Amino acid sequence: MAEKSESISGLPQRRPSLMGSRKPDWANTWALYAQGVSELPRRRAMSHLPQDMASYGFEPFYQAAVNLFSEVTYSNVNLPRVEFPGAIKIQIIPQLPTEDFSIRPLGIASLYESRLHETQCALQTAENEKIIEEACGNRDLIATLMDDEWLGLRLLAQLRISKASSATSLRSSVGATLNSVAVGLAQLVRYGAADVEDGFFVITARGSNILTSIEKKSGVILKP
Amino acid sequence: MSFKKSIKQLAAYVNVTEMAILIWGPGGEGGEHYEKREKIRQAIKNTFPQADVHFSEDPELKKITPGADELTVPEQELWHLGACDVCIVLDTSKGAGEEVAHFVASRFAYKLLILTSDRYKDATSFPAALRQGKNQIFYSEEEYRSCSLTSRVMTRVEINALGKFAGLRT
Repeated sequence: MAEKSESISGLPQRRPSLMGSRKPDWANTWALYAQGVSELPRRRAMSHLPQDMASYGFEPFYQAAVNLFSEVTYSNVNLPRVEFPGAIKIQIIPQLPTEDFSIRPLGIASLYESRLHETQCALQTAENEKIIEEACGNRDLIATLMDDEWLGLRLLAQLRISKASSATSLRSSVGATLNSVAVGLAQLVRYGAADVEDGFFVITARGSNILTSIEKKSGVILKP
Repeated sequence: MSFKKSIKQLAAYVNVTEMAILIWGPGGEGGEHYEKREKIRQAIKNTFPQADVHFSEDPELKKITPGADELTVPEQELWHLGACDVCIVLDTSKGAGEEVAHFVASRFAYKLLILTSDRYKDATSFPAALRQGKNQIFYSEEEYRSCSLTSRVMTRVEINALGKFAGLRT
């Protein structure tokens, strides 16, 4: 529940609590640490690469790791634009001699590790680009809500109660020029907060969720 | 409460939202550019009194970084970037440029707001290509001298604040 109270000037005396137990002193670094966000660096620890494990003298673990890699297959993963390495079958022979025709598990495991790493990097890059694109669209939508004395937010709130409206009827409801309303509506449609059905503007589920979230977190009811 | 009043109240709440803001840029030896960095920090604090604004070199940040003593400087800075809501980069020093180059490929790159002089708008260097399309704002010399660059930063922070209320990653 948001904390709020009004002073005479209408300004809040207490800030709304957005982050639950989060302290303002950047304590969420520890939350990220607990979540185990893979990209964030951790304290130095022993590597789990099979060749390193072997060097630690953990031969049984090393064998288990190599066996595990021999089972890995990505054939059923359907992700576009990323080339996955195929499965590698490794036959483990204890005390393997090093004749010309023999397979050295350590070398193949390293090669596989390397290809797996490349794939993971490609995936991470694709995911990061997607995050940047999404955040950029979100910022544009938020800017639309705030622009022109919060016209976007007013239009969205109006659409929520009137279900389907024309630009002309919205213009009289929000008290803005037709030009401003048209621009605001076009932006809301562009960023997925509103849509056009049979010539009338309607609020989308995304637009509705945004209004609900703002109301829930701020405690301010947005009813025209 | 009237709709107009509701929006006024929401606008007031946006300005008192808790935010963690990072400012990267030239250090103390950076002269006027360091002063600009300080001005941006002060302006944010004035407009958003609940915002916790830090430079990457602030000792307080080291305390909140898990295992900081065992991490390199870029690793620590990645933690800072991961924890902040928005990171403003005053791209006027070699160090800031290196930070940008290092982190534009990270999953937290969307938090960056890179402020670059329009002299480098058509640059074809490798660092310029890295920055391209990554939340970059070009400013003119006049904008840099006046307060308009700072007001563009304020707009971005305000968007981030409302984004928190809207439950959107911004």
